Amino acid sequence: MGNKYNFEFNPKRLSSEDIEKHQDFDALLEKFSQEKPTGQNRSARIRRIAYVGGAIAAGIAVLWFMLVVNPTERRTPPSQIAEAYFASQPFVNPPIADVQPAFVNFEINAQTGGEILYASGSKLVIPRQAFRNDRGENIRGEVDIRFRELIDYVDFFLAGVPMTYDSSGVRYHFESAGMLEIYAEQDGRPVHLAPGKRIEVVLFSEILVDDLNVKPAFNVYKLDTAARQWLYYGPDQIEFLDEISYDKDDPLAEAKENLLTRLKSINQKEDAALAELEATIPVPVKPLRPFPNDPNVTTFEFPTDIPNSQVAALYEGTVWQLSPNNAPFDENMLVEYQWNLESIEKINNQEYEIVLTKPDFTLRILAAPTLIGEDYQKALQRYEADQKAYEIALAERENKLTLQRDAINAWAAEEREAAIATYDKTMEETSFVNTSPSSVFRRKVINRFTVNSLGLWNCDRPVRPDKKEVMFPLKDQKGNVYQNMTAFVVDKTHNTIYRYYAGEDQPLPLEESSENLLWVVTEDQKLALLRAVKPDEETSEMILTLIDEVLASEADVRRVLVF
Amino acid sequence: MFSILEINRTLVKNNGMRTSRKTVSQEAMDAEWLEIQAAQKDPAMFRPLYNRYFDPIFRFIYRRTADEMLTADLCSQVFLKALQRLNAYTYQGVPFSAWLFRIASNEVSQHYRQYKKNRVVSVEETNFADVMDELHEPDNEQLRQALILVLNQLKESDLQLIEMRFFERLPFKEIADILGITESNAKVKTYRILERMKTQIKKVTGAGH
Repeated sequence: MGNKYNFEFNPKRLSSEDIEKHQDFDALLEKFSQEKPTGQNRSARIRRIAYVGGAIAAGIAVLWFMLVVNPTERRTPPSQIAEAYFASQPFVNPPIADVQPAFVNFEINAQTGGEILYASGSKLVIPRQAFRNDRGENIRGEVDIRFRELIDYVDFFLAGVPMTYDSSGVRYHFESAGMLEIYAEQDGRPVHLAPGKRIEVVLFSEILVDDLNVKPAFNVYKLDTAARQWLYYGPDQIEFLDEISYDKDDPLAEAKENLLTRLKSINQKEDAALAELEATIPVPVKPLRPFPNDPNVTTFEFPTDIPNSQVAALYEGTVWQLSPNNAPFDENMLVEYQWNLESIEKINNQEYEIVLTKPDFTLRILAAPTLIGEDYQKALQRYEADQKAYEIALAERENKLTLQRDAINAWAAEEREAAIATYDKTMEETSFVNTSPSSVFRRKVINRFTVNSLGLWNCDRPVRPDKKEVMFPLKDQKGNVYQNMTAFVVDKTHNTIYRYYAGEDQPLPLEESSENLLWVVTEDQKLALLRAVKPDEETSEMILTLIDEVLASEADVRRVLVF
Repeated sequence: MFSILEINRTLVKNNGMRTSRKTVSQEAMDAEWLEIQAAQKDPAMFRPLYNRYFDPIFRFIYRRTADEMLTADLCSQVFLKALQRLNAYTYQGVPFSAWLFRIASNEVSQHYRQYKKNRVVSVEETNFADVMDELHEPDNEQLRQALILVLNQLKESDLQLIEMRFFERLPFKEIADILGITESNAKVKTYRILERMKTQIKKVTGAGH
C-alpha cells in the first residue's frame, strides 16, 4: 500500500522569534482592503451537528430601499417591498389587539426587595432599594411589579415580539429559550431600576433539540424599542433539566420512546457501575475540626458515661456549646431537670443534634463540641495532622478511581452514541411524503441571567432555518385573498415564529425538514390558516381555512393554532 | 399534546473527567466576543485577535507542512479568510480559536488537494512514547515501525484525532471544539481508534512482540 502521509520525524522546532518574523497585521489589513471578500459558503444542513462558529444563518439582509420609485419604469424587488412593509409596521406589533399573553401582578416593598415566584417555577430576585422614579429619587413603599413569560410561538405571536436580529449588516433569525417582560409602577406611575441594581432572573422554559448530546448556547438580549433592535447582553447561563419529551403525534414517537428508554437504562447502569466502583475504596473519613469555646455562649457538659463513645473518644474534656441555629427554648431546662440522653447525631461538619428526654417531654437541641485552652491546642494539632492524612488518602483514592471512572464514562458515552445512531438510522429510513420527520425533542431548561433595566428580555440564539421558498397566492375557502399583510409561519424544528410579507410575487420560505403552520390575521381579527404545509414545488395554490370565530382569549388562539 | 418521559440524570456526564488546563473560561470567551464584535465593525480592531492567535495557528499549520515559508503563506491565507468571513461569525459558546483552527485545517487540506501531495504528519520522539503508553505497549523500534505503518493506514479524520491528542497534546474539549463534536464524542472516537490501532499493530508484528 502506498503512503498516504509523509511522516516528518523530529522536524526543526520553530522559536517564537522565528514565527514572529512572519507576523504582519498591517500587511494583512492592506490585503483585506484590496481583495474582494470570498463567497460565504453555505454548507449543507446536517441534521444533528452542533452549531459551528462561522456558519451563516439564512435570513434577509438589511437593504436600503428606494425613496423614489417610478413603478412604470422600475420594478421594486420583492425583498425591498417586504422590507418597506415591515419598516412601516410598529416594531412590537401585537396582531390581535384584545388578546395578549397576560401579565401577572405582584407587590414588593421597594426598601426590602424580595423574591417573586411564578407558577412555572420561574423566579425574580429583587434587591433592596432597587427602584427610582422619573426624578431619580429612590422609591419607598410598595411597588407593583407586572411580569409575564413568553415561552412558545403562540406567546411570541400574540405579543408581537420581533424575532430577527441585525448584526454587522447581516440579519439573523432568533430561536428563543424563553422571554421575560417586566415593568414596575407605583401609584400608576412607571418606576425604573436604580443604577447599579440588577434583578436576578431564573426562567423555566423549554427548547427544541435534535441532538441530545449537544448543549446549544443561548445569549441574553434586551429589546430596544427606540432603536428597533435587540441588544446583546451576554451569555445565558442555561441549565438542561432531565425532563425530555416529544409530541404524541410525532411520527417517530415509538423510536423516540425507545431511544429515551435506552438512554435511561444506560444512565442507570452507568450510575450503578460508578456507585459500585466508588464502594471498592471507602471514602476516607474527614476529621472533625475542633472549635474553641466561645465564652459568651451557653455551654454544658455530659457525664463521662454517655452512650456514644465515639464522641467521647474524639474529644477529651469536651464542652458542648449551644448552636445559634437552635429554635428558642428555655436554656435553664438543661440544668433544672434530669434528662435521659436518647441520641447524639452529627448533622454537619460542626453540629450535633442531641435528643434529651424526660417523662412526657423530649428536647432536641443543636450543639457543637468545643474545647478550652490546652485541650483545644492539642486537638487542633491532632486535627491538622489528621487533615493532611485525609487529603493524601483522598487524592490517592481519586487517582486509583479516575482511570476506571473514565472507562465507565467512555463506555456509557459509546452506548449513548450507539443508541442515538440507531435512532438516527430509523429516522433516515422513515419516509414521509414530501416531508422529513422531525428529529426534535423538547427539553426543559432553566435560564439564569440578570437584568439591569425593565422591559423585554430574551434568551436566544441565531438559527439557520432550512427553508424552501414557495410562491402561491393566499386565499381561503371563501375566496378571500390575503395580500399586503403579514403571514406567520411556524415549524417543528425551532422555537420561534417567522413573519413574512404576503403579497403578489412574494416568496414564502417554509421549513423543508418539517411540517409548517401558516396563518394570517384578517381585518376582523380572525385567523385563516394552513396546517402541515409542505414546500412542494408543484404547488401553485394553497387554500387557507378561515376560522370564522371571534378569538376572545389566549386559550382560543392556542386551540386554533394547535400544531 | 405531549408525552413526558423522565430521566433521572443529565445525558452528558462530566463525572470524573479530567478538567483541561487549556480550556477557555466563559469570562475569556465573553471578553473575546466583545473584541470580535468590535472587529466586525472595524477590521483594524482585529489586531489583538490576530496577535493572540498568530503563533498557535502558525504552529498548527507547521506541524502539517514542516515547511516554514509554506506555513507563512497558508497562515496569512487563514487570517485573511477569517477577516473576510468575520461578519458572519456568531458566538456559539465555543472559543473563537476553534473557528480559526478549523479554517487552518481546511486551508492545509485544500493546499494538499491542489498540489496532489501527501500531507505531512510531524512526529517527535516523545510522541511515540505517549502513544505506546496509551496502547499499553512497550516503546521499541519494532513497534515504532509498526505504529508508523498503522498510522499510515488511518483515514484523515482518524489521524487528525490521534495527532491532536497525542502529538499536539490538546485536551479533548479543545479537540471537540475544533472538530465541532462533543467532548465525549471526541473521547469515544479516540478510544475506538486506539483499539483498532492496537489490533492492527498486533497483526503487523505477528503479535509476537
